[in-house]
Parts: sequence; structure tokens; C-alpha cells
Amino acid sequence: MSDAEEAIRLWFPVSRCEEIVPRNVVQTELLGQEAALWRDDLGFVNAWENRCPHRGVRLSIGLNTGSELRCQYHGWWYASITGQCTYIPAHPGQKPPNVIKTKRYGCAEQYGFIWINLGDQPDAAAVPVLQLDSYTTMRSVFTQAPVDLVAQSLIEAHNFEPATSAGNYILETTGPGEKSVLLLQPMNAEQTVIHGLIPSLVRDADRLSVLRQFNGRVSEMRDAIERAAA
Amino acid sequence: MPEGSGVESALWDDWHVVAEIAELTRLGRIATQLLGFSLVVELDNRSVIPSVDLESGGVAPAKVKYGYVWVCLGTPNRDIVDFPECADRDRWIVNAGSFGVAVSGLRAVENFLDMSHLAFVHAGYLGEEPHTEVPKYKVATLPDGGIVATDCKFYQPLASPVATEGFDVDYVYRIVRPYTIMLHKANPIDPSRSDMIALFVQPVSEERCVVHMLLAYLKDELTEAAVRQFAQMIFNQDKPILENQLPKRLPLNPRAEVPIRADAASAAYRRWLHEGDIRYGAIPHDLGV
Ligand code: FES
Ligand SMILES: [Fe+2]
Repeated sequence: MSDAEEAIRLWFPVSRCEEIVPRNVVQTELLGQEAALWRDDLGFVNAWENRCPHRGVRLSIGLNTGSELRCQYHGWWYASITGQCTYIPAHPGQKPPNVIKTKRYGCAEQYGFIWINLGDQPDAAAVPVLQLDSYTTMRSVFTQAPVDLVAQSLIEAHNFEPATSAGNYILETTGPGEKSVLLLQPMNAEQTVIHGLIPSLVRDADRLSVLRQFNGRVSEMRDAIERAAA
Repeated sequence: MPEGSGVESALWDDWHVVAEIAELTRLGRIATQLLGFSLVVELDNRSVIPSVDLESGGVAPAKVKYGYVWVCLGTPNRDIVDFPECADRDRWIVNAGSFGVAVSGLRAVENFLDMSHLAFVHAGYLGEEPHTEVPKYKVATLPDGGIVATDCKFYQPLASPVATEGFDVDYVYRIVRPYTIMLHKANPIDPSRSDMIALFVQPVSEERCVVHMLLAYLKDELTEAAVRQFAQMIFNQDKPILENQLPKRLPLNPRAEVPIRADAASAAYRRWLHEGDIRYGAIPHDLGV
């Protein structure tokens, strides 16, 4: 099995939970596939292929009403959870055929992140397990470099090592003391997002300075990696 | 077809709009692209016929009609589309603007044909909730090739710059070439006559186009500037939608995107492109869904 086929079966973080707020839709990309993320008013997060089944318009420019997502182009409604089309304004008296549904991706909330899985049989039990009693998520950093190169530089030049047996997408700092964890999101063949967390609860009073420090460090690594990739 | 152009004769050997003559007169020289090829259109002060230089070093035939410069990259095998309305003395013939869009020109043609987006994308002007229903209309093929949709009716709050109240507007759409579509729409003051809007879509590349809009409006109380402004405002509402369509090329396989009854015209357009083996700007069946 190729790396790409393998990766399709894995779960990846694509956003921090707190960024997926109600009545909003967010666009993300994983392994070259665009997804629309939106939270309904009961808290359920949907991750759908970012195209309306009707005429291909990005669902991420649609309207989150709290219980369904409405496409901007012709106003079709798609229900939360099932992705079923429930209303077609051009034919208001007719029930939309059952076959009209958005393409749904596996989606889970774990460790403060939204994780998605592009495979046909996403198994939520397969979301990577991190040994964490508590955690604080950091700001995610976009990197103009392929995921392999990002992982390789983090390991070779920045004192990180794989945190799980599941490959190089989840890394932690080497050595003793409190570890920082980096989660890599391969957007496509050229771009990667580095998500970060630290395995402890940060007191509110310290939050800003911890975030600043972490962000400064990841940004420096990002700059070094992009220079190497260029 | 010159060797290696890769573009089907139906497009390569036909005329396409590449510029407004007014714009060319002002600038003297316009560099643009057609079907993926770069060209320069120039106006010599002794001649009204522009000359076209291709990046390959060759030249191409050009004509001026309806206020636009038309170019054929191959060997012209038919005339420029005929619009009898443009000869009417009581009409404004307006070049309403040329709009660049990062999407296949075939998607732009289809959008123009589409009634069910009017109440959403052009809310308050060409449609409005709750008047979203698209009644059944008729679709047929044209004797010279192409698609015609008749008996189209749609409620419009402000169908033109002179309309003051909403009413059901009658439309007839005709697609006469893969990248050319025209619309006849009942005039709000004299419903026995119609205003005409034509789109000449310039396929810049497979995923980019320039939409050139021609209006032949009856001379009501209307100024040319008002017509232009209205058209631009309407088009600015379409552009962000078109640029958010994935994929950018038009899929011709009927299973690629789900049509409903209101899409009968768009479905017929896609079928007609498929049957005519038009591939430029399209995703043909044989390339999957
Ligand atoms: S493209 Fe989404 S409703 Fe038509
Ligand atoms: Fe429109």
C-alpha cells in the first residue's frame, strides 16, 4: 500500500475545537481534499467534502443555520449529522430524493482538536491515543513545505521524535521534562499545518506568555523548514 | 486545426470575442489569451480592422462586430453569430462590460442559463424569497445546433433598471455556440417586445474566462450608463459563486453533479456539449466523474 493510500485511512487534526464555533463554516484541506467544517447548535461537528452535490459550489461559503447548512448558490438545505438534502427551493412542494446527500468524512473531537478521516470506514476508536492527563492547545502554524520534509526537519534539527508508533505525523520533544507535542496535518503535496499542544493545563495568568513563547518557537522552526524546502 | 493546438475544431475554427472595440481604440493595443494561446490585438490608425499577432509569430483573422473584436485562431468555418435585434433603431446596443472569472467559460454559460439561483445570488433584484419555485419549462434543440429553453417564467422584484415593482418575467434562453448564450426577456414597459442580453464568453484557458456582455435594450427612460452599472452589479454577484465551483471545469458526466427538474436546460447543455465532443473547459465522460 502506498503512503497516500495508507494516509487516507488515518485520522488527522484539522482545526482546534474552539475555532469551530456555532453558526459558522470553516474550510480546511487534508491530503488534497477540501472539507467544510461546521458545528450545529447541539454541538455536533460535521466534516463534509467541500462541494455541494448539486453544482459543486464550496459548502464552506454556505450558511450554518444551527441545524442545517444552506448552499449559497441555489439555497439547498443539508441536515446536520446525516448530510441529507432536506429542501430544494426550486421545487418547494417536493421532498428531495434520498440519494441527494453531502459526502461526509469521519469526524471526532479529541485533545482539543477536530480530527477527520477521509476513508470509507472511519473508525473513531482509531483516533491516535496520546498519553495526556490534561493539555492546552497552541496556535496552529501554516507551513509551505511537504509533510515528510516538515517531520524530517523536526526530528533531525529540532529535537523531536515520533510520539506514537503510528508514524511521523505526531511528534514530541525528546529528553526529560515537560514535552511539547506537534501534530502534522498534510494539506496537500506542498503544504502542512503544524498543530501544537502542551501536556498540562496552563493557568490563565500564564496563558498569554506560554502561547507567545510556543508560537515564537514553532514559527522559527517553520521559517527554517521553509528555507530548507525552498 | 494546427498541429498540437489540441483544441477541437468546433472552437478552434470559430470566432471568439477578445476585446471591446472602444477599449482597443482607447488603448491602441491589447494583449490577451484565447484557448490557451497568447495574442496581441492592435489597431492601426488607418484601419478599423485590428491585426492579431500570435505568440507563435503568425497572424490571425479579426473582425469587428457588435462593438467587439472577434478573432479566429484557425480557419473560420462559420460566420459570427447573428443578432437581428442589433439592427433595431429603437434599441440601445450596449457593451455592458467584460468580466474576468477564474472558472471554465462553460460554467459561466451554465450559470447564465440558471433560473434557480436568481432568488439567492441576485436576491432583491432578479429574484427573492419566498418566490423560489422554478415552474416547468420547455427545452429543445435548435435547428442549427444548440439549445433553446422556452416558457421560462420567474418572479423578479427588480428585473431591470427601469422596473419599479416585482412581476413574473418571461424568458427565452438560447445557447447558440458552446461559449455563446443569449437571453430574451420581456420588456418591463412593453411586454410585447423583449430585451436581449448576450454573453460571449472568451475561453482564456480551460479554467479561466472573460465574459463579454452585450445588451440590446429598448430605449426607455434608460441611460447607457445605468444599463452598464446594473449589469456590472449583477455580474459581481455571480463572480464569487462561479469562482467557488469545484472542479473549475464543467463535468459532462450526468452523474458527476445531481440535476433536478429545474436544471433541464443545464442538463441539455451538458448533453449537447458531450454529443458535440466539446472538451475544452469540460471534464468529458471518459475522464470519469
Ligand atoms: S450548487 Fe449548491 S444548491 Fe446548487
Ligand atoms: Fe447570475
